[in-house]
Amino acid sequence: MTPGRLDFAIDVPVTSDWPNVEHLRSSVDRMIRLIAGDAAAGQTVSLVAAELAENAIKYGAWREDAGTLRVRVWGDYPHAHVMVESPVGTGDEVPEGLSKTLSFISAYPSALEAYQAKIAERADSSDGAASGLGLLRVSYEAGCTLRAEVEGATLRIVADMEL
Amino acid sequence: MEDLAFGDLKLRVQPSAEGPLIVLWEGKSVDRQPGKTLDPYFASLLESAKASARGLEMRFDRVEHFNSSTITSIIGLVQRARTLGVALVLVYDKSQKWQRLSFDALRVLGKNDGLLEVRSV
Repeated sequence: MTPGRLDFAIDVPVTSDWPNVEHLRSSVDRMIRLIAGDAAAGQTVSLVAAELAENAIKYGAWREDAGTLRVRVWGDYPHAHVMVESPVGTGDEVPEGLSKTLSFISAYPSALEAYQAKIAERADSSDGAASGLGLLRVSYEAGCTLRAEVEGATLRIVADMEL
Repeated sequence: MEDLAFGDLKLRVQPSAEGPLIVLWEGKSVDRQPGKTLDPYFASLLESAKASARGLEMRFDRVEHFNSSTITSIIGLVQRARTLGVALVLVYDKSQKWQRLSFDALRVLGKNDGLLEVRSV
């Protein structure tokens, strides 16, 4: 790395065991704090990595109890990106629930308004079904844009943010 | 009321005979399904507060992190408190950006009925 530049990248396989979400979050938090010297930046990027990894573990098309997701965190501070890859069925499109959540976010003038609408929706709901709250949360709290694509049997979701 | 130790999370009930029932959050709430443990505990806290005609104050300012599933449980807590008529206060640390953002968003649950206060320290 050229002195003075703040480009960074980690690209790691993560076993889809739930406790690894917290290991990932705390590792990303420390890495970004080291680069940025800013606790808030570490919390922001690590929150995104953790929420995307949680979704991947919960909703990925795992063929066995455990598999491996791919997590990449990179950027050139203050620009940062998080990408999480997990399995989908071959030939599938972006899962409907994920597409709906991304559309829900874009239907509102701001990420805060979308997130608050989802919070109010959850408050009025009596079931514990998946809500997409995590993606709305990172869209708002990290101020990130989210995009999803499927390539082969892999779902890739990417968050782009400015710290 | 007893404290709750749950994974990396601790909820400590502050001993007091007057004023709201105060619960300190410490550590991290990162369980896959925190509601399975938190929801019944919150229900017990609210029943205890109601039985003694007290409010409930949840202090999050020392908590390091919680996942979005925990937020779902907090939303449920707000709704349950309102149903029971228990005044609920959520206290956060405004110097921590993530807490400020999280709890500012939860203000949408306020109904101008005096039963929910979101307050910073």
